[in-house]
Amino acid sequence: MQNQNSKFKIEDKFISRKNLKKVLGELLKSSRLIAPVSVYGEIVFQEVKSVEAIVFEYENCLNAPKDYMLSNDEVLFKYSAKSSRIKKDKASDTPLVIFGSRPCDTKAIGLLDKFFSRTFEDPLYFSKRKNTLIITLACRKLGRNCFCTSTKSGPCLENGFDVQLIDIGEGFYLEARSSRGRDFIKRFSNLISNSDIKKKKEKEIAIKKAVESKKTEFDLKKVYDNLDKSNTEDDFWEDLSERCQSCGGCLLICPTCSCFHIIDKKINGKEGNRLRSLDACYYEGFTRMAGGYNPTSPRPEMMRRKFYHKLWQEVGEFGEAGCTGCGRCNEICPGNINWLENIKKIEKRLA
Amino acid sequence: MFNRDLYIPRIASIKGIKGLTPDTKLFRITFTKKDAELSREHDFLPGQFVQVSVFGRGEVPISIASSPEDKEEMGLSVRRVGFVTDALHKLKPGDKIGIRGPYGNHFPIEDIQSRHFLFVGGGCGLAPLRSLIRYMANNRKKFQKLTILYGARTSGDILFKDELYSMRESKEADVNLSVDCGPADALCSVGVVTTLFKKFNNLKGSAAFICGPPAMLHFVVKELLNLSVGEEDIILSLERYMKCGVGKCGHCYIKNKYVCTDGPIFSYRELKELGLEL
Repeated sequence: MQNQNSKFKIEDKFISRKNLKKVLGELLKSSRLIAPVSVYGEIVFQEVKSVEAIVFEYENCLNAPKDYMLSNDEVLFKYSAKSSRIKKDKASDTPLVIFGSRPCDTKAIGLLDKFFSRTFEDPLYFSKRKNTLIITLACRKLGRNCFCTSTKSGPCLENGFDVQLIDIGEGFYLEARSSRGRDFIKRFSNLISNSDIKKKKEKEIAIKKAVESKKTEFDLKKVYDNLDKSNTEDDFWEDLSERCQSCGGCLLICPTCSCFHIIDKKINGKEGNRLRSLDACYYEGFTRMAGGYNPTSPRPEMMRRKFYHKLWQEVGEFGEAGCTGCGRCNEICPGNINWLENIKKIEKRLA
Repeated sequence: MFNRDLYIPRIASIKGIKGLTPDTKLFRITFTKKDAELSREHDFLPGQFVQVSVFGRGEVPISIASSPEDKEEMGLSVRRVGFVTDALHKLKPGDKIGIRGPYGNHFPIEDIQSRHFLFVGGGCGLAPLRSLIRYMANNRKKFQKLTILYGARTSGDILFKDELYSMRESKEADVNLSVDCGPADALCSVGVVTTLFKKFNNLKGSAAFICGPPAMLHFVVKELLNLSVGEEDIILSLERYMKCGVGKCGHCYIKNKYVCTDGPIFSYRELKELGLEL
């Protein structure tokens, strides 16, 4: 028994449901805790003040945890009206813990990490990110709108997370794959126990069950290749964009979207703040220049731009899709466009 | 970089303002005294731009129009066309603005093997080209043959008119000017800038640097290809709406290239690969 246990890496552990609640209670004392809660019948990520408020049984939250890394009205700096002084706020030192992030959302944040360190490192993003611990909750099955198996971002992650919990009935199989995750295990070593062969087997069965709960929808490589080869097909994009209202919903709710706009906002007669907020590339003025020239107009062009960015550029540059299959855009679209169905069309039609 | 923090500008002072045309002004900028040392260390190269802030209004990308060898001050040619540039035009010498940068890539003059350098500008597109023109004109040993083809709407809209006329006088460059609407004079003809190509029948081996309105780019590239200029030797400076200038806000990318970090300078061949219809 001793020999078999020593085969496991130190990061594979087990935690009972009761102990998990105790861990969360401890975390509340020293960090801001973001967890799924029920608000007017919807499950959303929100800051909690007590463990009782946390929901453990849910498909996914309406908002993505990315909202805590990239929020609206982030202050870049404060300026004075005579512009002879600029003041930058000190970043908050309170650690942030996000509990209950699904694998698709965690993978999305991993993608944002890569994006925000590309070319120049974004100081605002990383000042929040370095203080954040994400506890991922693997899925038992794919949800109604989910397609994470096609984008290789779920229902369970192999790496790219701090701590991942996989439900095996009597508790959770606990994995750590980062130094933050390993510190977490050390810190709560009194509430986290060792794993064993039986539990590992149960974990593998749970993952297999989740993966097989829904068939894969498309082959990402094929979609990439099709987009790579085709440069025209204007009528295809026109067809896709017919029902788009440019509401921006799909982009504002997407866990991997990060485009932002910056405005200067007055506080009083003497000072103001330069703020950055999330932006959406489907908004009409997104690429419009002061003289009126708009290189990405009309709407079919914008649609083509988004597909290429998420399914071709990011795949080519980062090796992973800019879409993690969470399905939120399908939930929210007022025009019933269905992003997933369109990806399948690209896989089949553009060839 | 002139600025230490990615999103926080360095404060600069407007040393002087010169009206170039009814809607364009040249702002001569210096950094505040204690930062002067820092600004000399962080040089820029022709083709790069800075993000200019008018605090309370916003920030816009403006090409640097002065030569990097001009260490005392930096020249920014700004056309009044929108919300921020309008506020910029209302400022006076002594007023403070914010500068972030220099950002973007630069005109690839190290790689160019040719002897003949062609500058094709339209309207306010002459601004980034001027940085390169002045740099090359001050280094005549390396850059011997300079030809400028520049078109503006009317005679009053010709940017850096005095400099262009004096370059023609001193034969520093072969300066050819055209205006869309007359009257013509001894120094400039009437017609779009492409009419200035008539005097050439072969430009093989030349390098062309182009900047101007989108419609102009299309026709100029066509002329250059007809005159046997190679696709890698046709260099364009593109303009796009930018917010951050550092490849993060997502407004300026074309397929997989961010105009603010991978550009704004692209060769015609690169743009073809991007599928950009000029």
